[in-house]
Amino acid sequence: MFGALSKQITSLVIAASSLFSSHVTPLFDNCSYRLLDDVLVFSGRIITCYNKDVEQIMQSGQQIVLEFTYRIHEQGNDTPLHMNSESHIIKYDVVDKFYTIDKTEEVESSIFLDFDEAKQHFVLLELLEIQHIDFFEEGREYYFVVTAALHPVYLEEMEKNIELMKYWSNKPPTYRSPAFTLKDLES
Amino acid sequence: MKLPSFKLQIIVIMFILLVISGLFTRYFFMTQFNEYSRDITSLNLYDKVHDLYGNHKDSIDKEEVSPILTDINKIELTTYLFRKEMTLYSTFYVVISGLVVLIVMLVVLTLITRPLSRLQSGTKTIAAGDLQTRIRESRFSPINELISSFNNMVEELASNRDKLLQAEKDMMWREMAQVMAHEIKNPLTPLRLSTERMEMKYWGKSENFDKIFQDSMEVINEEINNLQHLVKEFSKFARMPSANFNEYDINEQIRDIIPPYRGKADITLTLDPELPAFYGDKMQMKQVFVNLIQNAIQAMPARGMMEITSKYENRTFIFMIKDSGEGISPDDMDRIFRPYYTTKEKGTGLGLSIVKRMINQHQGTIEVDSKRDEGTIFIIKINLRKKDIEDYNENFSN
Repeated sequence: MFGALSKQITSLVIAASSLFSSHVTPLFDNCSYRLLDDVLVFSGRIITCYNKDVEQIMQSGQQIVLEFTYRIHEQGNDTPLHMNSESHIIKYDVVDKFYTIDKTEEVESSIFLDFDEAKQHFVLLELLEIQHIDFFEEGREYYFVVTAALHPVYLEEMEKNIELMKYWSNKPPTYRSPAFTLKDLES
Repeated sequence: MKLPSFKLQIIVIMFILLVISGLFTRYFFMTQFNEYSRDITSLNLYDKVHDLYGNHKDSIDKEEVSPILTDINKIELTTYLFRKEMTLYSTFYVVISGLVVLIVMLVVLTLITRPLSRLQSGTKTIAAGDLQTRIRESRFSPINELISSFNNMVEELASNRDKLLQAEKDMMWREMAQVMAHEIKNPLTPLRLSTERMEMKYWGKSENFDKIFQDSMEVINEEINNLQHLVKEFSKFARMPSANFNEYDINEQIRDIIPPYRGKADITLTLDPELPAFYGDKMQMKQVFVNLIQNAIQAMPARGMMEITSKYENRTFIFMIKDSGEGISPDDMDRIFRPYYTTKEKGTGLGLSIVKRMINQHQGTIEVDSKRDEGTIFIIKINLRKKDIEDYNENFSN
């Protein structure tokens, strides 16, 4: 009886602590932006974005969509001048056991047999085209913001939605660039 | 070690019981669900189907197998997530329900213990003699009926006490009237006899009228003196002044009182030389000792022995007056301090009653022990200190 009780107390403490620890705080890391062939491009990746639950869902064969939204603002103005988004889609082939990652900013799909590699690639943004240089005017200051959000996973036939953003505490990771001018980009 | 309050004890016990019951409830449901979850996993449906497809790749289309494997994964995934949610929700349940029950318990216990505290302080006040006290009722309290009954009981007590006091007062008046009637009747007979004798001798022109007149006048004057003494004693009893407390040497007082009585009894003094200064009314204490010494002498008509002792123990002054008289009968022992009660032929019955009242004014006690033909001992105990009177005056002077 006391054994069961102490086991219960331990599991209760673990469960109570998991209330606070089951969530992760995703962050943009290794971010950079530059002009490439007259286009402002952004590179970066999201770190600390996986936990056991998210991995379990990824390995179940359900399609997971990670949407990157980017907005260009003029410095001092919250209303975006330009807004667009790109999506990364990962799906596990339950029969042949490989991961397919489609990125809307890329033409070809990527295939991974290793889960860790797939995870790394899924959250990686490489030379994301933000805007052409013609968009930017001389003498004005700009900044851009990139955010990422996971779409809910809908389990067909079970009519059940899994809100993936709850694992990120409903806080999308955000990158905000420093203020820049056209001159800064060209230099 | 002082135990925590009743309220805290109940809260701790209830909280422990609640946590244990919550944990066991959680344990029961989680065990059931874990078994169910293990049963699903142990089926290894995914591997079985996958192996089946691997072995019959040529005859089974991948597009047919894929949804089945996805569905199996869906089941395992939802089971895994549900289990996790259950763990969280059951934890929430234990914590939240525990808090809710604690709050409810706190409110209920407050509703119970607060009136109980009022009841407790009320009983103390009533024990101190204040029958006007009433406990405030609270209609939300589960013990409101008890409070209501308690208030009714106090009301009854107050009413009965008033009746009792009235009855005692009536009885006292009756007793006093009887004593007065008896005391007045006694001198009236010789007065009447003396006046009748004088009248008879006067009208009979008796030769020895002068002698009879003189004798009768002596009797009349003596009885008038007796009546005056009686009136004086009653008046003194009715108008006993309040005590005037001072510090003084009570041994010295006893020594000063004794000399006039040395001729009537063999008096031994055993006075504690270490006795601290006594705090009391010097006049009243003198009267106390004089009354008790006179009583003792009257109890020893054939010159007996008397011992007067003073000592100080446990911060209490103890005085003992012991005689070798005939003692007091057991029937009289209970009544000797009652006013107007006397066993003497020429007594008012006020002496010991006055002594008791004076000792009471000094917040002391007087006890009596007596054995037939061996003697009587009166024991006075007073532990009044100067500080007590100062505290009393400070608290009750207004």
